[in-house]
Amino acid sequence: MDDDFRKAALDYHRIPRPGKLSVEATKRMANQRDLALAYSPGVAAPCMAIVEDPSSARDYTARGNLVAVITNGTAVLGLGNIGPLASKPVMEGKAVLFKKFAGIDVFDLEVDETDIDRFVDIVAALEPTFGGINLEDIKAPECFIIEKKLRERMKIPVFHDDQHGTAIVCAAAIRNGLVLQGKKLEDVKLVTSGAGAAALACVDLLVAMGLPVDNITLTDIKGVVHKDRGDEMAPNLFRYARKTDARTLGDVLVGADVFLGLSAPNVLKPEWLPQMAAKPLILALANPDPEILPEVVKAARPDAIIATGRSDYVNQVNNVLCFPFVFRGALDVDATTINEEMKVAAVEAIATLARAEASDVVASAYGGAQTGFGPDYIIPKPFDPRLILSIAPAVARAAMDSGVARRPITDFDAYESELEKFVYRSGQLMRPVFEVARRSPKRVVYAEGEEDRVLRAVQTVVDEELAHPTLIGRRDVILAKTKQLGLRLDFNKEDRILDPQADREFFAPLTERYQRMVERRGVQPESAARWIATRHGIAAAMLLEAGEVDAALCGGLGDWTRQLQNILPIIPRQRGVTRLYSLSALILPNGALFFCDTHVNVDPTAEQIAEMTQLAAKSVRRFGLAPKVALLSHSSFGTSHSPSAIKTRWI
Amino acid sequence: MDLEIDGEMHADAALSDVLRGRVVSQSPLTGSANLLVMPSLDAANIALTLLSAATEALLVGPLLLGVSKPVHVMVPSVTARGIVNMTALAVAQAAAQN
Repeated sequence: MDDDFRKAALDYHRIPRPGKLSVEATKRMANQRDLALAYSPGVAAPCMAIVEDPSSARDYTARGNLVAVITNGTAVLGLGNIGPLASKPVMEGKAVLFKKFAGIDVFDLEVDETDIDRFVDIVAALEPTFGGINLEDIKAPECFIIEKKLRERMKIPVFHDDQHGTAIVCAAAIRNGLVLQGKKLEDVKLVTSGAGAAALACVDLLVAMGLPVDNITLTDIKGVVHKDRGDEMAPNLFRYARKTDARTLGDVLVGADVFLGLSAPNVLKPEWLPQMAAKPLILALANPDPEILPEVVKAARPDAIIATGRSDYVNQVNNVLCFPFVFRGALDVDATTINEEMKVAAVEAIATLARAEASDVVASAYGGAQTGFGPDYIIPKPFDPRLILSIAPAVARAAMDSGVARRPITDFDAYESELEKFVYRSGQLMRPVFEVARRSPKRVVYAEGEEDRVLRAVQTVVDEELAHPTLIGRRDVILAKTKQLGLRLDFNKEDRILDPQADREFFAPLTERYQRMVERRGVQPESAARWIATRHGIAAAMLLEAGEVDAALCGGLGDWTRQLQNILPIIPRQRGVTRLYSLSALILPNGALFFCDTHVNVDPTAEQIAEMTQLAAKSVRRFGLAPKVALLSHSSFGTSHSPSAIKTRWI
Repeated sequence: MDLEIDGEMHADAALSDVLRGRVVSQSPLTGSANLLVMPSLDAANIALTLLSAATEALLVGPLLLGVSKPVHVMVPSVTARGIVNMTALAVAQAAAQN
């Protein structure tokens, strides 16, 4: 991690208030009566109701939607045993993912206890508080024992995400990878690198799905896990110990169909790849540096399909695809546990989703391309809005079918439509947009290249590989400011500075073109030449018009309408469109709202409103949202007949 | 284009199908609207700035609609984060045009 990124991460956590979470009240408390209902004496009523029927706690408290994210800080990310206090940012982060992806409330609990039995006692005693328990970042082998004991003792779901979340997403990737490679799970030979908590959970789940135990070979840092190894082995590991003379990963990879890496960087050597079976499937999930890089695999084995844990390669195996939605489904039927049936249902739901036709919404979020099932798309993207709609009902059904649902869902249509509402409220507005930009970065010109805010933003744009920036402004001023702001921008390669005052030669053809554009708009040639040199919005628009860049961002300074007028003569309207309009969005706590026309047309006609609505709806689709349009007025469905009311009447 | 749309209606009815249902029994619009089309620039701009100031919500845009190439004019109050968002939007638009 470089210093800037570290500082940005620290600021993110510290400003404007420390941490990433708060508790919010969900009921009004505006007057004396509310207070009497919420607390004494009114609160006694739900208390007594729960005394009579404990299951009604779900109706009167937040318990049914509340999950504990619990750790003792013994195996935090790749940081190791950093203790419970230092693990708190990770647990808060996990809580935010639960909330943002599935609307689940979380208390993060960092417990200072490494003794297995005492830790188990502490967690088990918390059962009245929670609807579910997510164990997090607890080291092996303690995590196996803790999970096992808690599952036995508690009547609510206990899920260790590092094991089972990873296993579910891996299994979905393997399921689909094998479909593409034309193989059956029952027939393949699988080799792991890593025999820790996650690897064991993966193979356990694959066995539950039909992979024969005899087809599995585990390896770890000491080599092949075999019967004669002599070290102390947990019973769940011993189950997979082979009777074999092979001792190294290279030995057992001969003829293997699937490599499952959950270990360390670069342990899979390129020279072993040719010995794997035809059409192999390679999951290299060590993070951030995988067991082998996808480009190395592709060079040696073009017939291979590869997945990693990284977002900058295709097929990212990411737990966030699964744990929020598995809990969503389990909580919604008040499941007593998360059993194998529910995990397998989650696997199948994820795998099926990747094979399904991309929906309208997803297709437009991705710019209408990509996302077809194939070697570069074997699992869904983490922000696919259909994830919750597919996984949660599948998990809920599996819980009901396997007899662990205390409150079965009777109307799945109604349930799914509730989930759908959540999808459209959850403020992940910019995610699909960023994903598209990252996949196909374009050249963007910034008219106000000397502005601090622009320079800071451009640094992020370059770091995130969203675009190749061109800045308009005085070269010396921009370079001095870059240095002063402590930025690391390099303008000698693809990213560039263009100065209309100094780079006369470059701008000469653009100036001439601009003069021709405005000569019949009452602009003298000398004025046109002066404007392109001094009004940066004009220079930026001309670069866009000439195809020097793919997009232009003007303004940020001065009068908005004047800036717009500068570019109007240069960039034509879309064919068939009579006017320009503007659309603004606000990202509010419970969803995004789009407004139009916020900036251009003072008093649009009914026809213009119709045209604008079509354009705005198309734009909303680009965010991965299905537009739902309300034409607003002071009038409510015909209560007024004023001209302004009739204008927005839908007929 | 198949579109969920209705009007003319109050802003509260736009966000609540329960309120809407009290007035009209059937509507092509279901659930809570996310695209609010206003009768005038005043209404749209006031609604936007009022909500933005009252809630500290993040503003994305304004986006210019109807232009043949991705070009946007940013407002003077735009933050660095807002510029990053506009960049991603403009790039996604350019990608869709290819």
